Amino acid sequence: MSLWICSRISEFLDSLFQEEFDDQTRYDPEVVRLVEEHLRQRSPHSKAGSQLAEALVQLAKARAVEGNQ
Amino acid sequence: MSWIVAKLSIQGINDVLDRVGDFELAQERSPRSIAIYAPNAPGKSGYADAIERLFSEGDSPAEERGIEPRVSITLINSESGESVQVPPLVKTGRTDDMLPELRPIVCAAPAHRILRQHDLRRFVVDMTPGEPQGQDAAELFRWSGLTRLEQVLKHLEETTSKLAGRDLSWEIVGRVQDIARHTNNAVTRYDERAVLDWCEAETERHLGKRLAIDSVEGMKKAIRTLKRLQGRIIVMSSATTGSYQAKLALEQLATGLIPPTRPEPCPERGRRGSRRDGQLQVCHTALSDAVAAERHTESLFTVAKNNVFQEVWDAAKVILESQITDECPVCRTPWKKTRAASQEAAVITITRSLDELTELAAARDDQQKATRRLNRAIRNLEKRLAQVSTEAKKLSLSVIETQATELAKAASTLGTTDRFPSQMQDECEALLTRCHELVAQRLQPALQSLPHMVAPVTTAQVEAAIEHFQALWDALIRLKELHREQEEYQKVRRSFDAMAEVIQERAAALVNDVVAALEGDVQSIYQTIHPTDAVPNIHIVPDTESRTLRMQVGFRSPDELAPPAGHLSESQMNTFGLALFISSVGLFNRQFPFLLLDDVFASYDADYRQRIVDLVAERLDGFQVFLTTHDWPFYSMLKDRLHDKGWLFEHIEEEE
Repeated sequence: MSLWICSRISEFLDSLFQEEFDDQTRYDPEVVRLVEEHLRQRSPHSKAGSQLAEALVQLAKARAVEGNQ
Repeated sequence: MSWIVAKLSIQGINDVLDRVGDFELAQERSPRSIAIYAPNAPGKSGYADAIERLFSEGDSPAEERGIEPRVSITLINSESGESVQVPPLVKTGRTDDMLPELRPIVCAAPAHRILRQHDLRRFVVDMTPGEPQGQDAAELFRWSGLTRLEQVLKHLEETTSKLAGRDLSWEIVGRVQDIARHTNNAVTRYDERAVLDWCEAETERHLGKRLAIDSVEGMKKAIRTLKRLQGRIIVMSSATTGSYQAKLALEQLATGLIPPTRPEPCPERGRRGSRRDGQLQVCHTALSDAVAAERHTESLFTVAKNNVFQEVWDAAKVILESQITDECPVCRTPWKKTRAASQEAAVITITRSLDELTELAAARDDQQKATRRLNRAIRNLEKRLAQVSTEAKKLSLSVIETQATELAKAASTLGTTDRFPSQMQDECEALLTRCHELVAQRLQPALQSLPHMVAPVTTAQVEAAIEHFQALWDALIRLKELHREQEEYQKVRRSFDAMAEVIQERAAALVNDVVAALEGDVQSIYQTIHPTDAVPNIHIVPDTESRTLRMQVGFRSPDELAPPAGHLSESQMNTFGLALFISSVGLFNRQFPFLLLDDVFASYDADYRQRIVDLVAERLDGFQVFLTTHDWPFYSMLKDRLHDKGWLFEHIEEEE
């Protein structure tokens, strides 16, 4: 990974999401989608960390409900 | 190269710049750099203020000085030919955002693009962590092009922290406590089968039959059954309460009269019986004790009469008849003529007689107590027999009722007589025998032949059972949900943690790469300006706690590092800052390689001019430079070196 590419953080994140996190056997696609949605924006929300945590909790809840039915 | 500044117009700074604020900085799609000379004081720093205001958000030095410059700019993409034109910008307040047309261009080149003289030292000194310079430290991160990465890492940490704070165990504990409360502490953990077993036992207790409950869903069926049978339970309750209670009373009375046979006799059992004896046995024992006490008293009385009263009266008679001097002091009988024959023998006789009298008194007391016990036992027997009669009547056991009544009357008669125990012994034993026959031969068989009766329950008890079942159903369902949710939550968290770990590892590697490149570049630039000085080892250390970069220098070994301030001279510090700036724009701003140097070389001695001209010509060759200076020799040297390299040169004279 060249320094030039790395120094552009959006490309750094792109490479992670398109290569590393695309492996569905190692990473939960829904979790990857939520992380991407909250942190890959050019200007993340100031509370993006908290919002991501809440979204992950809601995902777990939804799956639990689905599993209980 | 991507974006270049084609046209730039700046107005509203002050009178001098209004006159020369229009610049054509491109030829076709090729950028042109510009150097502007102006003596001190005409306000050429206003260029830097105006351009910084254009490319920044919120506060800028222009606002701080109360200046509101109007800037228009045209940008061209040197590769695609696309252009962006921004008309004279009017910012109305500190909260104005950057123009949306400029944002993607500026974000693609995140490092600082404007360098003032005072920035040189500030970049090096004020960024040292540990000082109250948090904002500046963040600025250095931004300057190094790592702001967004820092934000991403901060958000990841926030997410990790929030996820770690989510804990379902409290609610799980609360629900388990619900289970314990609604099973009367029979089940104190989350054990579905144990709760179902408890519910089965409860249905048996209330309904007289066991309902199989195989699952949590089965509890709903049990609740429906309980509700359906509730009415029948209540009817049955009122109908059977009297008979059930009468039977229960008779069973208790029978047991009280003749207890169930024990497998082994109690060796500690006293002669007067124990609490486990039935009332008939108590009466037997009391009778025997009373008769024995009576006979014992009679026996002692006879002995005392022979040994004391008669001897005394005989002795008195002898004393009165003899009138002898050497005599007993009481009866004045000479000792040799008394039956005792001597004073010593008389004393022994009198002592024994007194002991016998004491023993007699104790025996009489015992006899009275034994007699009272016997009377109490008989009255108690009479009372129980009367109860047997009453309860037998409720169950229509007429023979038992009649016999019990007769026996109660006989007991009453015995209890009120003044006869000695020995005088009523036969009669009493006959009564006890008849009582035994009544209980053993009639009452107990009759009770066994009665149909099995279920303890009647009240409406409140049934309602309470339904309430417990409902609460247990709620608790089990919720616990199942909670465990499922916790399981899913842990899966999600494991996946997120794995992602966060990868991002953090890659980010750390990226930071290390950037820092390594900066270190090498800075050292090289430093050496260009100070070729004859001892070149320090320059270290830029990422500080993960303060989220900044720590500058350190060392002149000897890598282990002896120190902050630059205090170890470098003023010009060395300036060079350090200049090198950091040039290195960072070279690394991060290639998509928009426009930079402004606002009189930054003024602090250097004349000896450095040529090296700085070389630095600008060689190191900034790929950049579009907007340079201002008040150093005429430097301006001239630069012009000589670069006038045929596409540079523009402007000369502003101070007005008279």
